Amino acid sequence: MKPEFETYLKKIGFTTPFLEKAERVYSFYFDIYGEQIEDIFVSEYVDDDGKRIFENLWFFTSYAVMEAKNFLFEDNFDAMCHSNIIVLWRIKNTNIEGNVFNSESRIYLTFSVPEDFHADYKASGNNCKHLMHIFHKYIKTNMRAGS
Amino acid sequence: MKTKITKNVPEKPKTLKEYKEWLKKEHGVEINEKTKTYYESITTKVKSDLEKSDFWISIKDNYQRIDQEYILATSGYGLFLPDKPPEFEIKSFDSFLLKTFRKNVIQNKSWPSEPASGWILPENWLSKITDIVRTCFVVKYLDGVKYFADALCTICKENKLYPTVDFEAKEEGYYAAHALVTQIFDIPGEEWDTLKQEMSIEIQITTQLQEGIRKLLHKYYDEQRKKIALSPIKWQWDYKSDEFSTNYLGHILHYVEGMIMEIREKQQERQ
Repeated sequence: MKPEFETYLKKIGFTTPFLEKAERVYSFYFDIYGEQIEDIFVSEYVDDDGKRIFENLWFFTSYAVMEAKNFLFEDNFDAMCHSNIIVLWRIKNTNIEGNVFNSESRIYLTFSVPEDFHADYKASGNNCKHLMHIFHKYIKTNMRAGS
Repeated sequence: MKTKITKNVPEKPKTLKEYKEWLKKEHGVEINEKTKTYYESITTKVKSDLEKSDFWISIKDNYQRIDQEYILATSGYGLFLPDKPPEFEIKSFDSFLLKTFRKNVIQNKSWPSEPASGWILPENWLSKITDIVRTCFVVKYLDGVKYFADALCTICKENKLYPTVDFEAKEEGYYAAHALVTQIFDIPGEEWDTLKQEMSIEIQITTQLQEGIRKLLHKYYDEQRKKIALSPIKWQWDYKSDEFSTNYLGHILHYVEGMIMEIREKQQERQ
């Protein structure tokens, strides 16, 4: 896995057992997309006990987005092309002032493409900034003309 | 005719004040502000050394890893309740002295002779009272107690420490694992010198529900510990007593936690 991916995962709280799971997912997609994989994102939320619950692992190339659903417990992989086909995106923020994020910050981002496909991204605390990076790089720029 | 010969057994001290007088009279031990200040200087140093020790740093470093291993092993159930390991707590001097009172007097079946494990006096009390510095890890589920106890033992051994783990199940409805980790600490001497002192640190592991009831009953247990006279009726039969409801609540919660485990395991089997 790319060192910057590992750094990101550690920053949001991954230790060896979860890193090994992420590495497995990365290897699966690397066999298909190789060095084209540019970015990573983990969708997560904070539960009532204040603990981060990690859900889905995403990888991005300039033209495709890959999702490993419930990646800690399942091998459930898919991918789709996102180039210029996004018709709708929606962001719901909590505890965010401008571009300043704190431990209470939450972002819920969803986007849709034709044929009823949509994706959900959740981020909390120090993962919010990374989600906004994903939004600016892969979602905002891939709106279908006329949408 | 048989004559019953009764020895004149000295009465047990009934209060802390009487206990202090007994300590002075029988053992020449005077408990005063200096004793308390010295105890506090030792325990503060031990706590500080412990927090900086390789063992504790290793526990902190591995806390998330152990949690994440458990999550994977149980298909998504978290091990710990809080996100960070607990802090160490120091037993207050009053509470410490009360414990020596309980062991020397209240629970001493050999009175007026010394208890089976010997008198607890200033020359040995730092090694005989094993929870002067302690902490408590709270896990969410019953199986987490043993899971973390095993992980704790592994980390201890990696740091050349050999804990003893006791899975306590008391008649009074108290359930928790107690790991005692014994180490040699450098402690301040009474004359500006440094002494080597063997002391045990108590690491408790309990469940979220037991922790809840423990906090609730803390005051009750504190009062109980100070009592010297036993009620003539066993608490199990005295349904109006505080003991009846509080102790059985502890047992019921333990049973409920066992049932939760059973349901959880059945769900995992179905998956």
